[in-house]
Amino acid sequence: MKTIAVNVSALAPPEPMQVILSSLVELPNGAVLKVSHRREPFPLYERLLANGWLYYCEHVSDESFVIYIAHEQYKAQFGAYIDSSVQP
Amino acid sequence: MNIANLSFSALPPINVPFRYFISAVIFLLLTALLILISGEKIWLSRWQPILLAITHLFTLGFISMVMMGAIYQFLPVIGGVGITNVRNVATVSHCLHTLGTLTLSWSFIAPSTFARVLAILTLGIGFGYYIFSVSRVLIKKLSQGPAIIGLRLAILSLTFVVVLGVLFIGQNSLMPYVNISFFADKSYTDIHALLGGFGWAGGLILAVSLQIIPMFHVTPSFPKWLAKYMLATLISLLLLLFLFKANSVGGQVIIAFVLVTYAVFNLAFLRLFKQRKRKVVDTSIHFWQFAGSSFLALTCLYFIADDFYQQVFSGNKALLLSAVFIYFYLISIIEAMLLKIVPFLSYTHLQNLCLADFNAMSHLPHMHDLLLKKHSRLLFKFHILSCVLLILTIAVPRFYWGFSCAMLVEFSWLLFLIIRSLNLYRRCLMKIKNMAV
Repeated sequence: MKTIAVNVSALAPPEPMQVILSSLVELPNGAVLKVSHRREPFPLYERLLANGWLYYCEHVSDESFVIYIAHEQYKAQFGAYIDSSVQP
Repeated sequence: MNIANLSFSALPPINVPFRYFISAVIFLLLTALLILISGEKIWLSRWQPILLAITHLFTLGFISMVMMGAIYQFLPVIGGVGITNVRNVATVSHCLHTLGTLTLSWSFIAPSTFARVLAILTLGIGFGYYIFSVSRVLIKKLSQGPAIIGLRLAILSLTFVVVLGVLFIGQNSLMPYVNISFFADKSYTDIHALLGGFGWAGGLILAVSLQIIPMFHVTPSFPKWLAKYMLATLISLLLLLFLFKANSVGGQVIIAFVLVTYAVFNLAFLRLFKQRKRKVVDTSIHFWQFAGSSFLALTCLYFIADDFYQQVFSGNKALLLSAVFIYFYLISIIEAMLLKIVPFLSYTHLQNLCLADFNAMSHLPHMHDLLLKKHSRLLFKFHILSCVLLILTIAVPRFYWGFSCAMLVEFSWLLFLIIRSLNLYRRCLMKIKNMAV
C-alpha cells in the first residue's frame, strides 16, 4: 500500500486534527496515512471507527506515537501492511 | 494486531462541560453582587459568615464547578475512556451542586436547620454521585500516566474535602445523634481549606497541566521526577496535617513545605513557557505567567513577619494569603484554561462532523473566530484590574465597591465570550446539518 506521511507532533490542537482531516480528504484509494504525533489522539480513534476508517497505533516512546490510518474497504491489505511494516 | 474493535465512550455532548462553565461564571456574578450589598464590615476577618459564604461561592460555585465540568472532557482525551451515562451524571450532579452551593451560602448568611440539612443532602449526594462516577473510570486500568494518577489523587482529596465539609455543616444538626464535637477545632477547617486548595484544586491543576501545557502550548514536557512524585508528595504532606494541628509548629512547617513544593511546580511551568519553540503571543499564557508569579509572591508573603500584616492589612494575613491563592492563582489559571477549552471544544465538536462528510470542512470557522484574541486580551486587563482592587479592599475595606464592580465587569465579559463562542458553534452546526439534508 502507498504510504502518505504527515508529522503533527509540533502542532497545537486543533491543528493536528486539521492536518489529518485534510490528508484523509486527499488520500489516494488504497493508501495508508502515517501520522507522527506526540500523544495518542484517543478522541480521533472513536471518530475514525464511526466513519469507516481503520487505525493502528504504534507506541514508539513516551512522547512519540505513529498512527496508521486506512479506509475499512482495504482492511485485508491494511492488516498485511501493518504486519509487514510495523510489527517486528 | 490491534485494528479497530476498541470501544471508546463518546466525548461528552458539548452541553455537558458548557453548562458547568456558564453556571460557574453566573455564580461569580452573584458573588460580586453579594460583595456589593454586604458593605465593608465583611473584610475584617475570614471568619465573617458572609465572607465564608463568598469563599464557598468562589470555591464551590466557580472553581470546582469549572474543574468538574472540564473533567468530563479530560477523561476521554487523557485516558481514552469517558464516564458512563454521562448525560445523567452531569444533569443530576450539576443540579445538586448548584442547589447545594446556593443553600450552603444561604446557611452562612441566614443560619437555619432547614438550609443546613438541604445543603448536606444536595452537596453530599451531588458530589458523592460525581465522585463515584469519575472513580468508576479512574479505577480501570487506564494508561498509567502521571496525569491519570494525579487525577486519582485530586479526586481522593476532593472526597476528603467533601466529607469534612458535610461534617462541618452537620455539626449542629447531627450533634444530638453523633458526637462530632471535636470538629469545632479550627484546625479541621484549615485541613478542609488546605486539602481543597492544594489537594483538589491545586492537585488537579498540576495533574492536568502535565498534559495540557505541553499539548496546547507546544512546550517541552515537565521533568519526569516532577510528573511522577510531586503530587504524591504534596498530598502526603497535606494528610500529615491530620496528625499535626495546622497552627502548631509542626503544622506550620508542613504548610511551609507544601507552599515550597507547589512553588517548584509553578517555577517548572514558568520555565516551560520560556522554552517554547514557537513564541506565539497568547493571552492564555499571560494568565498562566501571572498566576505562577503570584504564587511565588504568595510563598514569599507566607514567610514575612506578622508585623507587616499588622501595619498594612490589619493583621489579616490568612485572609490576604487566601485571597491571593484563590483570586490571583486559581481563578487566573481557570481563566487561562477556559480561554483554551471554550474555543477548542466548540471547534472540535464541529471538526468531528467532518469525518462523516469531508464537505462539511468548508463550514468550519477559523478557531480564532470562536474567541477573538482582542477579546481575550481585554479579559486579562479586567482581571488585573480586579486583582489590584481586591488587594486594595483587603488593605482599605471601604473600596469594596470597586472590587465588586471590577468583578461584575470581568465575569460579565467572560460570560459573553462563552456565549458568543457557543452561538457561533450553533450557527456552524446548523449550516453543516442543512448541508447534510
